[in-house]
Amino acid sequence: MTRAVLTAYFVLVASFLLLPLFFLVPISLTDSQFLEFPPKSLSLRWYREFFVDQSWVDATLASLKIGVGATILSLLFGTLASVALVRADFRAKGLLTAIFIAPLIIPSVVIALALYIVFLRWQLVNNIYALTLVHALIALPYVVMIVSGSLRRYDMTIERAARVLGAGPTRAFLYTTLPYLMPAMFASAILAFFASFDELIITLFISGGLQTLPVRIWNDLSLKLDPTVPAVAVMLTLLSIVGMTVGEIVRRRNERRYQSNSVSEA
Amino acid sequence: MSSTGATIDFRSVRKTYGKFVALESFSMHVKRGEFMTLLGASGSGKTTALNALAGFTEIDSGEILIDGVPITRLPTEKRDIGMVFQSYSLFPHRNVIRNISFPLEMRGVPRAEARRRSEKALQMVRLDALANRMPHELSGGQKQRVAFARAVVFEPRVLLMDEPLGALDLKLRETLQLEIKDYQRQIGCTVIYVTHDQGEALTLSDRLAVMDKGQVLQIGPPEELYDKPQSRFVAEFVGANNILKVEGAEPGSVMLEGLGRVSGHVAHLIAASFASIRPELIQIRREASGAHRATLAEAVFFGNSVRYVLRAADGKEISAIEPRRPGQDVLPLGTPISFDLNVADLVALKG
Repeated sequence: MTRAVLTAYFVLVASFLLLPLFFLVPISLTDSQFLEFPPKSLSLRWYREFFVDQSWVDATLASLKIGVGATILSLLFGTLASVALVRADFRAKGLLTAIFIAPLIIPSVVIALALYIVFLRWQLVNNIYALTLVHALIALPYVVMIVSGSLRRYDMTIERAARVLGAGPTRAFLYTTLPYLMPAMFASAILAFFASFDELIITLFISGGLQTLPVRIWNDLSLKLDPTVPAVAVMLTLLSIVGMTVGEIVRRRNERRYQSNSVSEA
Repeated sequence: MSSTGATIDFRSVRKTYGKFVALESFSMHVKRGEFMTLLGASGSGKTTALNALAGFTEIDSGEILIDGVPITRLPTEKRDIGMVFQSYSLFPHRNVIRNISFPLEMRGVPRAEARRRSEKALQMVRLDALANRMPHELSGGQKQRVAFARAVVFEPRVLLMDEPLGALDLKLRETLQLEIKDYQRQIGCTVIYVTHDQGEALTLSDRLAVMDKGQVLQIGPPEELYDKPQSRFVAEFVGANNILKVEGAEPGSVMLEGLGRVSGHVAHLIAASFASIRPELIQIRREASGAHRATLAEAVFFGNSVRYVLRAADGKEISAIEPRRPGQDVLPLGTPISFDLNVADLVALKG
């Protein structure tokens, strides 16, 4: 009885979450000029349209560049920050942790407006490097949360063992802790990348003429509406699923190594 | 693989964590090639002493010397110490042979030579067949053997072991005890071994130091600590023992809990507050011929011996171990018996 109720509940919630896809996929496969559901005839026409239209390709490339840059930056600073936040003992630790997580909590519009005012003065609007830096800031909380969570569960004696056996602090970290953090960094890299790849509001304020993929979609929606947008949306969804799956596989493989290395199993 | 062990000196080392005093005027000299065990309960300071020597904890005052050279200012990696941990602490991303060659790699030993020396170390612990396994594919005993090989492959003059057998089951622990002792004899390094298991300490050590509240209570060879404990704490902590309160003393005799008035060679007991006697030094008499009366309160059968708990006339429980011959029956509970002991075997204890 309980099982049946839970199953029904699961199906309900899962369908609600998957509902957009249920409409999106057929709409993207239409042969018509307009959004229609269900489509009268099927074709990959709008997928082709995406790759042929230079403005779509440019927007995608811009998003990719910014996303990769933001991921690398947030990963570097986020991991270093995590090491300090987890291991060092200092007064401002709580406050500093809050500051690192803040971009996730403060409404995007507030950040967008603040950055817009500053960027106007410093003439950084329509600058791809400045935009990358801002995206790194938005991605940072994901890295800090995931990496510091993983670091908190780390058995420090492995790093100690490396130290006593002859590795200096840096080498001990690189040889023992870093490999341990890899899966967490990989998982947070995926989240960081999509945080940047998805970002619309802040980008709209400070990108100037620069079009990222979400901005391009936004512009498309407000001007005309053709089935390229659903086609792009479906491709983005598939990309996310692949990314998340790879991340999960890497995480599980690594977990096994550390579990069987713990004392309790002996 | 061989090295000459170094001497180790702790000179009035003090270490506090907030209000908790982990080590207080802790001094100890360890001889070249000696197997020294720090024995104590958790919180006794034994691990703090080890961590201070390894460089994981900074001490508040005092000095630690290896071969007469002060090392408290040297970073961990420059102290040239081998160490084995309770949690094995193998590097999960490296296979067995690359775990063992790690210390050599860190010291810039050429690859081929590092490989050769690591293989030799692996041979010593008889795991040559597992060179390419990953740590998570090994059993607990195998992991600890690899950890041991890794700790000695660079021929350190000092080897530290922090409860290395604590996570293993009893049988494996006994096998590895013998192995460790054997390897140490081959290698010749000085070992400091930390444990709370007194049996392990008695089996392995050349000398052992019983620690409590950050200080050494007594230090000496295992036989000496077993035969002549100086304090009640050591008498109770090392081996099974009977602790008898000294209830009164006059020249020529003392009043002891459980025994009543005892005379003869008791001069050494007159100033003591407690006396101890090992269970195996008490002879049970099946008739009433012994000097002290008691009833049997408990009997535990061990095969080659029986441990009896005797209830003396004043109610004090005294345990006695009687070696057993085949066919000999275990006495039934409640049997009135008597027992004897040699007064010279009573050890005088401070409070």
